[in-house]
Order: sequence, then structure tokens, then C-alpha cells
Amino acid sequence: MVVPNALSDRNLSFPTGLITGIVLAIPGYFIGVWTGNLFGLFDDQNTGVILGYAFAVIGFLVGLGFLNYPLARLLGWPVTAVPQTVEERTWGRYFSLSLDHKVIGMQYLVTILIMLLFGAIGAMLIRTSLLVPDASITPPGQYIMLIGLHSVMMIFITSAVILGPFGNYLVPLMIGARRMAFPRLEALSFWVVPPAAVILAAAVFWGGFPTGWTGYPPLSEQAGQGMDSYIVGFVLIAIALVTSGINMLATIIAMRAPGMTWTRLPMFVWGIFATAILGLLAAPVLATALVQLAMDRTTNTTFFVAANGGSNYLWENLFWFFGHPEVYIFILPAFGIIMELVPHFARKPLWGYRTGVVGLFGVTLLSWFVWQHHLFMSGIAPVLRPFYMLSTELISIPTGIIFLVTLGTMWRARIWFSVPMLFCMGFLFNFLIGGISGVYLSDVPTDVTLHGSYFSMAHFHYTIVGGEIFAMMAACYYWLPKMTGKMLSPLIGRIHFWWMFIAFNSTFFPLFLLGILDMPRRVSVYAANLQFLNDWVTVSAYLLFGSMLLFAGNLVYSLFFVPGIAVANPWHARSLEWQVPTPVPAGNFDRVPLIVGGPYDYGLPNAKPAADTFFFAAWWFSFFYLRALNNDQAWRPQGVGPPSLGFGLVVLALVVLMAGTYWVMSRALYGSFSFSLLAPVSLVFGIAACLFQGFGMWHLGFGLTQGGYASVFAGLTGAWLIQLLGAVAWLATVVVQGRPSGDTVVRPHSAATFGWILVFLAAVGVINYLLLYLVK
Amino acid sequence: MATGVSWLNPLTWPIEPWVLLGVEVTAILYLRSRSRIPSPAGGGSGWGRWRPLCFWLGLATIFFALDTPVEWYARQLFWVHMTQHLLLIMVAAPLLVAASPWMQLWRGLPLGVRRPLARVAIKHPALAVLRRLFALIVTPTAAWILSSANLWFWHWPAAYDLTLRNHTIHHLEHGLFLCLGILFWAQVIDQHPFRLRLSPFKRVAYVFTATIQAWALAALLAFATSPFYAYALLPFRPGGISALTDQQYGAGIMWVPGSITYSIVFIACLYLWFGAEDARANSFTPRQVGVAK
Ligand code: HEM
Ligand SMILES: [Cu+2]
Repeated sequence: MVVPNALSDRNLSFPTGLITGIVLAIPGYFIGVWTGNLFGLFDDQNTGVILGYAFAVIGFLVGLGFLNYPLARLLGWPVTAVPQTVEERTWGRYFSLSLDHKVIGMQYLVTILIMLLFGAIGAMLIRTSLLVPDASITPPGQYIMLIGLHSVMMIFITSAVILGPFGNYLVPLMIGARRMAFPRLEALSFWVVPPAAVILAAAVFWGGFPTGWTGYPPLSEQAGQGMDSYIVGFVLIAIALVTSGINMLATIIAMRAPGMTWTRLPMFVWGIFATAILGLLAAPVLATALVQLAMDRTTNTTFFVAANGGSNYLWENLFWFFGHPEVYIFILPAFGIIMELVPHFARKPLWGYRTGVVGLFGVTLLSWFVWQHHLFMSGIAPVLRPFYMLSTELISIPTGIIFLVTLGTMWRARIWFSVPMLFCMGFLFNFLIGGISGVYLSDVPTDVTLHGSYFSMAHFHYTIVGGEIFAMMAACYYWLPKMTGKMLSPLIGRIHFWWMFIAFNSTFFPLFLLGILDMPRRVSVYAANLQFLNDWVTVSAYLLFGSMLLFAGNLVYSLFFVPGIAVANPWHARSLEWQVPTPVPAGNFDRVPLIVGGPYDYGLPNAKPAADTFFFAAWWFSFFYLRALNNDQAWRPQGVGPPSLGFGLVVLALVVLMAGTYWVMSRALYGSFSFSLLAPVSLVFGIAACLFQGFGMWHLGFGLTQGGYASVFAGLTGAWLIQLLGAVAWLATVVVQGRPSGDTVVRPHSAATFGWILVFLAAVGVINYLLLYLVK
Repeated sequence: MATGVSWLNPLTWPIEPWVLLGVEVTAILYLRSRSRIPSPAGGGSGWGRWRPLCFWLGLATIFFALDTPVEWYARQLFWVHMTQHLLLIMVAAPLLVAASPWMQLWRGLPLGVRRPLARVAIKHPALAVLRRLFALIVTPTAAWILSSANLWFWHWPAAYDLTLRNHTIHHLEHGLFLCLGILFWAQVIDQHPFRLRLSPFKRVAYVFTATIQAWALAALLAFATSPFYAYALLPFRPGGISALTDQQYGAGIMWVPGSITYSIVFIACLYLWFGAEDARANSFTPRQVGVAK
């Protein structure tokens, strides 16, 4: 094939970066609002607001430069799939789309710390309001807004606070890789987080949202436009979790240096590995629920409207099916950190390496079937409560095992009480209380009185702040010398630890008492006799905030006032990340880890379908759930039904044919005759399928408000159609270029991967057909 | 008890002749071969010592599940019936697999039977298709799919109610549960003297996915808001619970206790995998390993 020479010199020349991102985000927002208001079905502006946020994010990402690579591919310009990491140490790289995992780690860290500041200010406002037992400081509406903003902001943060900064920075270093498996995906998993925070904060302009972080309908259906911030922000976080999940799994599975066998993986990497599995599988379920909520709020489907073929229990189940694994997404990386650091400072090998890993996996497995312990008081299937009580208590076994592994490591060791170690000890103390209080909550009889009280508040703050945030602090003191090249002052560190430890316990321990004394969550008014305890807590909370400021001061001090660069291995640790120089060179290792086999050799072709399975599974679950819950009339009123059996079959057949031809094609040689013949055929099938399905959706013959079936039909088919459209777009680029996109390394594999995705979509189509067309 | 079934008096137990016969014949075959040849699998050291125990426990579980008052309760209570199934799939089958009595049972047959039987089974051209089919069925993928499909199929209300009406079908159901259960667990638990096809890591994935699949079924039953099966037609249930409660208990049992075997095997497979990894790690020369700890 003759390639014109001029082409190869062409390059994208328009500038991209943070500025252009913001510049494009603003018109994106207005275009979205305008379109939404134009086509939105109702005049409540929800459609406009949601589309506005979505378009703003897209504009932001495009402006950052996420489109450059695919565009260049499409136009046939030469691109390097993964740019050679070059040594460039300018500040600018922190403000632009960088594919260097170390830069991304630092971007994450700074972003998260800034978000943490805002979340903490929210907490201070809440505590201030609670200085008095009545609502005189903040009126009730504002109080619940503060609760919502504080809680969701904190959930965003804690989903990523270890995974983002430390996972991205350290995992490749620890396994001896030069980079992550999918650097663009990695960048994406970061760059959706700042928009999520901004969009969440934008809820202020709409008066916030009244539901807290759990978003229960019907309140979330009735809430104002602030709720849309919750939806879009959380979807972005779900995207971050899925993308980094795929990426971490692929990296850890495929990019370990030779000799880095599974049993030599550092515990921190194991923690991230287990977290990645949870994120990959849980976040799609959240995404489904959020899409359903958004549909209810914009197109008036009735997923969560009990009066009309829906059920608010559906949300509660989907949310907590995500929500419980989510709390382990918080804590598993923290376990990883603790098990990683304690051996270093106890100067002993980890006591029971395998047992520790098995503990992590035990938690991973069990965390999928305990979610109903959040719903003991909801009225769902009370008969099942003992079983969930049992399963919840079972999960404390692997948790306890992890604990014992750590304690066993410290047993009779000569411990070096450095600042990171102090934070590890703080973690152990706090998490012990947090975990044990969890066992109380999982006992049905106790939960009946404690649910919704400050006891559960105390429980999860002990696990999250006392656990995850303490571990994060340990990680900061331990790894920042490598990441920033500056040692944090140990003296300030020690003061910081004791201050934070005492203030933390003094803030949150009284909450257990308040809970037992029946103080309810989420209201600003409480019994007057509880004022003393509350004031105590508020003062302690101010002090806790102060300890965070001290940490910030330590950070600034070390960064800007301490001269010189920290030694390469200040802790005399033996693990891989400490064997590279400080600052870490762009390519991480100049000589070492000879990675046998390309990174994509056995990447994770099935990761995308795996995540997607859970996405669709949540839809199918919704189908069965609403079907079982409703009588025939509410489920499918007179006149509502699928287009026709034959119509559905035609669409399905087209998709199967598309997948089939592609499958045959992906086995043919690139550029061969059968290849160039089959690719357009497959594309034609795909386009036809989309047209038919789109047509069917347009002429449904029934309104979306008409019962549960209508909602599920619209949502499920719509989600499927959107993915089909994506597949068709991808196929179009294949046909245009005569070969699948991707560089020479990727090509065969991305082609096969895509084949799997098509087969997967066809299989989903079959199941959808069975459910939507055949089940009565 | 109204019908005179009593735990204390075995004569009142609902003995199923076919089940009893099967259990007895198996036991006799096992004993016969043990008394004749000292089996390499039994006795000795290590895991082998436990095999006979597993075998007898497995057989006893089958008997307990199907021929004792459990069966009598199972006819009136969905949740007991589900417990019965779990005993077959999750207790008896893995125990039998762990005992791997297959060679012994075979040797328990008289030589005069064994020879012609083996000849027919291995050589007869008419059975070629069957042999091919068998070779397919024992692959891990097929075993996974068949055992899960079987599980789901019998919970389809029409099929379920059929087993309640028709005794032969009911026996068939139980037989399939046991056999496919054995097939399933045989993919992950080592079978003396055979070797497994699945690598340790794949075994972890195999069990993990099967667990999820079983949970999905349990979840479906747990969240149903109406009873699915003909049990609802019974005028009275022991304990006086409602049909829906009964169904939810059943689902809860399938869910939590039903996961115990899965979890144990899952963890055992993880350990196995680590063992394999350690062996791999030791085969690297230190120079290659560099600074890895
Ligand atoms: C030892 C293991 C644990 C057990 C047995 C346990 C048990 C429970 C139970 C039963 C509840 C429900 C309380 C209620 O709403 O009435 C609960 C709530 C909660 N737990 Fe845990 N938990 C454990 C560990 C954790 C961990 C590690 C985290 C986070 C890192 C966590 C975070 C939460 C959160 C955020 C809530 C409150 C959700 C809400 O209603 O807003 N838990 N826990
Ligand atoms: Cu939970």
C-alpha cells in the first residue's frame, strides 16, 4: 500500500491542556442545557442540567486532548500507541494530560487533598450547627444540604484516596513495570474526578440535595436539580472505578517483571488487586441504578415509583449491592498498606503471607452477599435477616485474619516507631473499634434500635477515618519521600499523629454514646440533655481539623523549605519501589525488569465484558425484581408490550450476524481479501440493527410512564442500543482504514477483544429478547 | 408426628428402595475391593488416610438426605427440600470426590464382569458416539455449564412441580444433582489417580464464577414476592409458617450455608495456586530476580 509521505509528517497542532479543557467545558455545558431544554420532556430542567454536565465533561476531556489519539488514528496519521516517556520535568505536565503514571499519581494526590479540605469544611459546618440542640444555627433545609455535600464529597474522596494516588504511582514501580497497561485509561480514570467534584459542588446553586449519600427514592425523585449533581458526579466516580479496575488488573496480571511471581507481590499490590476486582464489578451496578434514577427524573419512567409498577426497594437493593463492596473498596487498599508497612518497621517477614492474601480474597468474595444488612429495617424480606446477619458476621473472619497476620508480625518484634508505623498502630486501634461496632450493627436485634442513629455514624467514621484515612497518612509519611523527593518532618509528624489520634477518638467515640442515647442521624435538632456531649464532639472535631492543617503545614514545609532531596531509601526497605533513584526517572527502571512478552500478550480481553456483565445483570435483576413485585396490571398495563416478536427477532438476527461476520473476519489475515470483504458486511449488519432498533424505540406505542415493564424495556434496550452504536462506530473506523485501529502490537489483540465484545453484545441481545419479548 | 414418622424408629422412615439399593451396592463394592487388595489410595500417609472417611461420610449423607425423616419433611417444606438438595450437591458430592473411590469401586466388581464391561465400553463401535460425548462432558467448561444449567432448570416452577407430582422424575432430579455435582467438584478436587486439567489459578476462577451463579439463583428466590412452587397449595406447613416465608428460608439456606463448600474449596484452591507460584518463583535464578523480595 502506498502511503503518501506528506501524511506522516502531519500532526495535530491545536493546543490541548487544562485551559482548553475548561474553555471547552463551558460552551459544552450551555449546549447541553440548551439541547436538554429543547428536547426535554418536562419543564423541570432536569434533562437540561444533566445533559449540561455531561457535555461539559465531554468538552473538558476533549479540550484536555483525549480525542487527539483516536482522531489521529482515524485519519491515518502516524501515532505512537504509547509515547516513549521522556524526561521532562516542568510544572506544566501536572496541568495537562500526562500518560506517566507518576504524574497521574501526583495529580490524584493533590486533587484529593484539595477535595478533602472542602469535605472537611463541610464537616466543620455540620458540627458547628450541632453546637446547639435546636435549628437556630442552620435551618433544616440547609443542614440536610450540608450533610449531602459533605457525605458524597467524602465518598468520592475515599473511593480513590489510596487507589488513585498511591495505586497509580506505586503499582508499576512495585511490580517492576515501566508503566501501566493502559496509560490513556489511567489518565481518564483521573481526569473524571475533578469534574465530579466540581459538579457535585455545583449542587449548591440548586440548594443541594436532601438524601445524603444513599440517594433513596422517593425523596431523590422529588428533589430539585441539586440531585442531578449527585447523579452525574457519582456516574463519573463509577467510571473512574471501572477504568482503574480494568487497568490495575491488567497491569498486575500482565506487566510484572520476570521473577515477580504472584507469591512475591507486595501486600500493597494485593490490596489494590482485590480492590480492583470489587471496583470493576460493583461500580457498573451503581451506574445502572443511577441511570434508572436519571431516567425517572427526566423521562418519567417509573423504576422507583411504587405506585406505578416500580419499587423504591429496587434502588435500595442496587445501591447497597454496590454500597457494601464500596466500603471494602475503601478499606482493602488500607489493609494492603498496613500489611506492607508493618513488616518493614517490625523488621520481620509478614507473618502468614498466604493467609493474609487469602483474607483479602475472602473479604472480596464475601462482600457480595452481605448488603442486606443495610436494609434490616427497610421491611424487605424480614425472614432473610438472620441469613444476612450470619453472612455479615462471617465477613469478620477474613477481616480478623488480616488483623491477626498484622499483629503476628509485630509479635516480639523490635519495632521501629517511625511516623508511618505510628499511623499503622493508630489504624489497628481504630479499626478494631470500628470492626467490633460493625458486628453489633449486624446483629438484627441491636440494629433494630441502633439503625439510623449516631451509633452507625460512629461505626463508619471509625472504619473510614480511623481506618482508611489513618492508613493514607501512614502511606503519605512512608512514600512521599519517594514521590516528592522530600522527607516530611518526623517531629511535626509525631505531633501530628498524637494530635490527630487523640482528637479523632475524642470526636468519634462519644458518638457511640450519643447513638445509644438515641440521637438520630441527619437532623440538626436533638434532645437538649445531649448538648454537653455534642459540644464536646464539636470542639474535638475542630481540633481534628486543626491536626489536618498541621499535616498540610508539614507538607508545605517539606516541599518548599527543606533544601535538598531525600535519600533514595530512607527506610532501608527491601521492596522494589525503593530501589529506584529519587526522583524516579521517567522510565522507572533504566535497566531492570526485562518483561518477557508484550504487555498486551495476555492483557485482559474479557475485562470489559466482565464489567458490562454486571451492568446488564443489574438491569436483568431490575426486570425480575419489578416483575415479581408487581401485579400484572402495574407491571404491564393494557396496551403495553414489545413491538412484535418478529421485529425483535430481526434486530437480534442482525446483531448476531454482525458479530458472526466480525468473528470470522477477525480470524482472517489483515488486508486479505476476505478481511476487506467481511468488514463492510459486518458494518452493514450493525448499522441495520441500530436503525431498526432505533426505529422500534421511537415508535414504542406506549409511554414510558406506563408501568414497570415500559421502564425496563426503555432502559435495557436503550443501554444495549448505545453500546451497539459504539461498536458500529468502532467498526466504521476499521472499514475506513481497512484495518482495526491500534498499533502493530495491539492490533491482533484489540481485534480479538473487540470480537469478544461483539459476541457479548449479541449474547446480551438474546437474553434481553427472552426477557422482554417472551416472559409474560 | 401425625403420620407416625419418628426419628427414633427407623422402621417408620420413608425408605426409598432405589436409594437404599444404590447406597448398599456402592458400599459393598467398596468393601469388597478393600478386603482383597490393599489399595494404594487408602491407608498410608497424607490425604490418603482420610479418603475412606470421606467416602463413608458421603454415602451416609446421601442416605441421611433421602431416606430419613428429612425426606418426610421435604415433602411439606420447601426449605427442607432445598437443604436436601444442598446435602447432595454441596456435601455428598464433594465428599465422594475427595474420597475418589472410583478405582476401588471398579475393582470391587467380579473380574468376570469387569473384563467384558471394559471391553464393551472402550472398544465397541456402537458406543463411539457415547464415548465422544463423555469425553466432552468431563471437560471443565462443559461440567460448569451442565451443573449450573441443571441447577437452574429444576428451579423453573414447571419442572419443580413436576418433580413433586412424579416420583420417577424426582429420583432423576436427585440423581442428576448428585452426578453433576460429582462432575463439578471433580474439576477442582484432585482425584486419585487422575490429574486435573485446570491450572490452580483457573480452579480459583471456576469456583468463584460458580459461586456467583448459585447466588444469583438464591437471590431470585429470596426477593420473589410470591411463592413459585406447588408447596403453596399445602394447607399446613410444620411450624405454621407461610408459603412465602418457607420459600425465603429456602433461598437463605441456598445462599449462606450453600456457600460454605464453595468458600472452603475456593480458599483451598488459592493456597494450591500459591504453592504452584512458589515453585515457579524458586525456579528463577537469583540474578534474574534482582531486588524482588
Ligand atoms: C467488620 C466488618 C464490618 C461489619 C460487620 C459492618 C457492619 C455494618 C452494618 C450492619 C451496617 C448497617 C448499620 C445500619 O445502617 O443500621 C454498617 C454500616 C456502615 N458501614 Fe460497616 N461493617 C463493617 C466494616 C465496615 C468497613 C470496613 C467500612 C468502611 C471502610 C464500613 C462502612 C460502613 C458505612 C459507610 C456504613 C453506613 C452506611 C449508611 O447507612 O450510610 N463498614 N456496617
Ligand atoms: Cu455494609
